[in-house]
Amino acid sequence: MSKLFMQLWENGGFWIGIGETLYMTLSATLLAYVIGLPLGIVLVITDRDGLTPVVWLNKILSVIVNILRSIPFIILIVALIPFSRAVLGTSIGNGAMILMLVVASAPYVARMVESSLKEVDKGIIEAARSMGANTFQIIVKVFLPEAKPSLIVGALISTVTILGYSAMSGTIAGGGLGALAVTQARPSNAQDVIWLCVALMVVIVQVIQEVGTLIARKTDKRRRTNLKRNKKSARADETK
Amino acid sequence: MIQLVDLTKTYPSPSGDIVALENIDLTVPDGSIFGIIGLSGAGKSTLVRCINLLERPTSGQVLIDGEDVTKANKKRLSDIRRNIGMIFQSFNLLEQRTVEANVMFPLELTRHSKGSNAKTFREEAKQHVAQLLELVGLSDKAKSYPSQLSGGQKQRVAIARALATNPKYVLCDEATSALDPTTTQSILELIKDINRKLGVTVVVITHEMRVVESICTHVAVIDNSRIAETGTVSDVFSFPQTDIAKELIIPNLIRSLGNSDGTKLRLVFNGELSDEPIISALAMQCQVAVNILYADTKNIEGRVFGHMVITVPEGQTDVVKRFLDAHNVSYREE
Repeated sequence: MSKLFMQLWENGGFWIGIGETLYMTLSATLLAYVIGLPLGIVLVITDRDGLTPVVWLNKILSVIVNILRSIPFIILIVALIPFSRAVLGTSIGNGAMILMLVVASAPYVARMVESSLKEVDKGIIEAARSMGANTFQIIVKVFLPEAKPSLIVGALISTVTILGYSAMSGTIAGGGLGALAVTQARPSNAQDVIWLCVALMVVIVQVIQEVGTLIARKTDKRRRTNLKRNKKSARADETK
Repeated sequence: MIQLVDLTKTYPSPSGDIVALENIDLTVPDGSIFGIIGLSGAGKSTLVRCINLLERPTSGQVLIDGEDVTKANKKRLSDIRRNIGMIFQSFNLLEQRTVEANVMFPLELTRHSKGSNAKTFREEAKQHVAQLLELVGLSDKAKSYPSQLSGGQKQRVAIARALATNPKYVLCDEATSALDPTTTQSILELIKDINRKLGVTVVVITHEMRVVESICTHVAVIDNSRIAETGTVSDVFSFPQTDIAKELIIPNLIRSLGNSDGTKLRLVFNGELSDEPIISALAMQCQVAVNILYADTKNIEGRVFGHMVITVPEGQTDVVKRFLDAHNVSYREE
């Protein structure tokens, strides 16, 4: 056991690391969805074959999303330091890290949402239009509920990705397991601390993934295995 | 009444406009079941979508009860659409909603425009949905999800949903094309029922003759983006004028007219006459040995319609014609 490991073990440093990682990841994911979900919806409905095509707006948003997504996160962090200072009054710490995570992941989330919504059968949208549903009603009553299982899976992938990004928080004096490994364990070469941090990250990812998949499966009404009544009874009733 | 006046629909494409519909004039009388039949790609799906403006016509008018729908604003269009139910080949049910909630869906869209408070509305809507499910015979499936249903049951749910807003019109876009023959028949019966009981005017798009035969009162044959022929089913079926109509209605007729000697007569039966042994009587009374090349009879609206092609030996044509005239059998020389 390294000295640092003992020290962290005794003062609860690992727990603090886990807490900070979860805090950053979950709040950044939540905020990224606050921006990314509406953005994804707008990308879908303003598309050329969307509900209300606004091609120029779609093009502009798409380009912005692509630009943000192509900047490596570590560079984005540096580039956003002045922005963070202007918005939050500081460019260091967990708060600043959350801001940067949101800027980096909102476009990613938008694309995830976009792809989920595009999976919704066009025929169902057409049926809703034929019933006189307006664009807002189609978004709220058709797109989102019908895409729910897929949106949940997308949210899981996004959360895990953001968790990975959060490990870079050490660069701007943020906390979490990543920072613990990079800024504290690395200089004193405390291999055991590094590996425990890695193991904890793996466990967190596993838990998020498993719980999320379970929720997604439970909500999806298309899967026969979730349904109490079986195919046979449906067949039997068909003959009448 | 639905009227399409000089309707044209073109789609732009890099290599010039593609014409989907050209100069369509069509009147769907109230209370009718109006079949629009044509081969794949003839433009029938586009045509039905022009009625509720899922597709906007390039030019021409769509008159619903005299109102030009193409001039309606968004809000008005929503109201008009609520008066026109629609069912689809692929059912298009909301997969994440129960059967009950699917039928409720169109009612939820109108909730805000209604004066009554939310609770009474919900109660009334629930009752209405229960009635509709009973009408389509799916009361016991209210809590099921679409993935638990067979194709025929899904289409029944779709029919209940299309009727939820008490529409005056229902459009069916190849509603039975994804179903097996037995299920098709039961869905067609249901559509007929709805037409009779609720007085809903139905427009049926299909490529299958048997659909038109079993339920339609009127038919329009569409070919190459144009209406080739239109009229009551009995008129069009008895005397199809155009090649495409003949091909759809009596597909083997043209082939049966091949190479054989003598005069060919096509006899058309309508109703009462089909039960009489007319050919036997002809042979016995006139002493003419006729040869039957083709025969096909169909039961339409409870009356028997049929076509029969016979060859008559040279020189005896006049005798046969006189006999047929005397027995009120319509015929054409082919």
